Amino acid sequence: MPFVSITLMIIFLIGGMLVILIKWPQGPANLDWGIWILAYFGYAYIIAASLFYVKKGK
Amino acid sequence: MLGIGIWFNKKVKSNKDYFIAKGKLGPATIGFSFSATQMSGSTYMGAVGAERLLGYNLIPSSIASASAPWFAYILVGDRMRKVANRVKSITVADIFEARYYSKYVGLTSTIIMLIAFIPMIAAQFKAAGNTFEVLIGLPYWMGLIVFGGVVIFYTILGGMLAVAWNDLINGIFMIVGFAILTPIAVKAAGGFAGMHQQYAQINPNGISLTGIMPTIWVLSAFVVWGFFQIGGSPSCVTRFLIPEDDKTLKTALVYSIGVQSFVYLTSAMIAISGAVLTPNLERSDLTVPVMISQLFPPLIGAIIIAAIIAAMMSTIDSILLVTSSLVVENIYISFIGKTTDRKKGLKIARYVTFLIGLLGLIVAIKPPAAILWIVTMSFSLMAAAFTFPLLLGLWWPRATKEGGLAGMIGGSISSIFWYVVGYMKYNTFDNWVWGIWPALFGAFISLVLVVIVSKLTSPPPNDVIDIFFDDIIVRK
Repeated sequence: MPFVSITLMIIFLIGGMLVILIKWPQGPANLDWGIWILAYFGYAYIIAASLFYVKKGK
Repeated sequence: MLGIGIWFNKKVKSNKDYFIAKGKLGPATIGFSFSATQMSGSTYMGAVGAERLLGYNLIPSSIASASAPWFAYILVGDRMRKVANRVKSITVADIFEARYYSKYVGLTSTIIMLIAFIPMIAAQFKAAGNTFEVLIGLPYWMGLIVFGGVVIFYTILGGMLAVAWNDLINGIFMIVGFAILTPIAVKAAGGFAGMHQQYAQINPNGISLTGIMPTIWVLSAFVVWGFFQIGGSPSCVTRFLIPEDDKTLKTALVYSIGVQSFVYLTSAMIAISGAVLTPNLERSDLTVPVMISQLFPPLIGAIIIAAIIAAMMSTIDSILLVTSSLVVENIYISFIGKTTDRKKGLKIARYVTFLIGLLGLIVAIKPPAAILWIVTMSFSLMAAAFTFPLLLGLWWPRATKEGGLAGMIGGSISSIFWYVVGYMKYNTFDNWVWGIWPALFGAFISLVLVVIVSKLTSPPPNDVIDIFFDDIIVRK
């Protein structure tokens, strides 16, 4: 069973829900930090997590 | 597109070649095909329009949709591939039948998928006819015949080989289309920061993750559009039956996650810039076509419009093929014809594809309201019915046929029940009690039923355990 990937998925789901629930301060480019974390850095996270699985199979 | 169908016509030798092209597709075609099937023309039209109205409230759904291959490939993809090699599966229903050691579980999953897919074919044809009408100016019926004729023709000739290669080309079109549109649209809207400043003035609640939609709706959407694609998109997960080796599937994941992340990330920027550039547009689903006419010369505009049409084709060809495979493999061959003749099987497969395509086209001429209601519910219906029976079936040796069957039936009925409760309260199928998505409600009931009923019934036979769990369970 790919335990590391499943852990990363749980972090993504729970972390993403927390980001939606928390009120975030304003960040760069007229967007709050919650949007930056979920809507922009989130893509980097899922791509990196996928590549990790492809390389390590865990 | 037609050329690809003709090219692959001679390479298809049996119904198995026709439906899944076993071992004949590489990682790029499998990866692009998975993604192009999931992202329909609505990604360009309806989804961009919705993002324009809901702003960043809809972004959790977008990133969830982009993450769908990550969940699906890892949680069910590799195990489905291994099992499909052992039990010679052609459809997802074959996997259910083998895992839950009952033809009737396979038949139940087939019926649920057909209820969802057949109206979806008609609805996709209708959407294509409307798009041709709006974008190219062709009469609705003519757009329907041109689009439907091309898709049905290449699918009949080349089966999965033609579908997957067309999906690859269509996927490249989609990427090129968004790659051209995004930077020019963002620049025209005042640059990245300026665009958001202006959007905040037009739609103040759309510049945060909640505010327009209830928080529970945003949270549900974030979970549903990623994880629940496992069960909600059987036409996508059918791709896991194609590769024979682990490396091909893993490399395909790289393509899928890359394509989907790019398209969903850029579609958000296009939607926000579209709201700034066309503030008075009445039909939000026409944001992209109107932006194209404002920002690009006709030649570039034609490339982007081709991308929209390509995206529609990629979804409908896969649904058409998977529907035919269910009718041929899980109804005709399993219960009626029982043929093992490969050539006869191929002939039947092509006839059925033609008939289902024709039926879809005829219904699309004037679809009854009930068809459109079913389409609205189809994703939730399948997500609720299949996600946990498939996931637990592949990972939990104790899941029994009674548990699987209860999960499928209970999940699908519960999701429809949740729609009906929402309809009674709000008089629409698009609003749900407490903002909880029917897929989520139905899937929860399904999970409970699979676990409880499995625990109360006799364990699966050893031969099923040996096929599905030889790498998990070590017998003494």
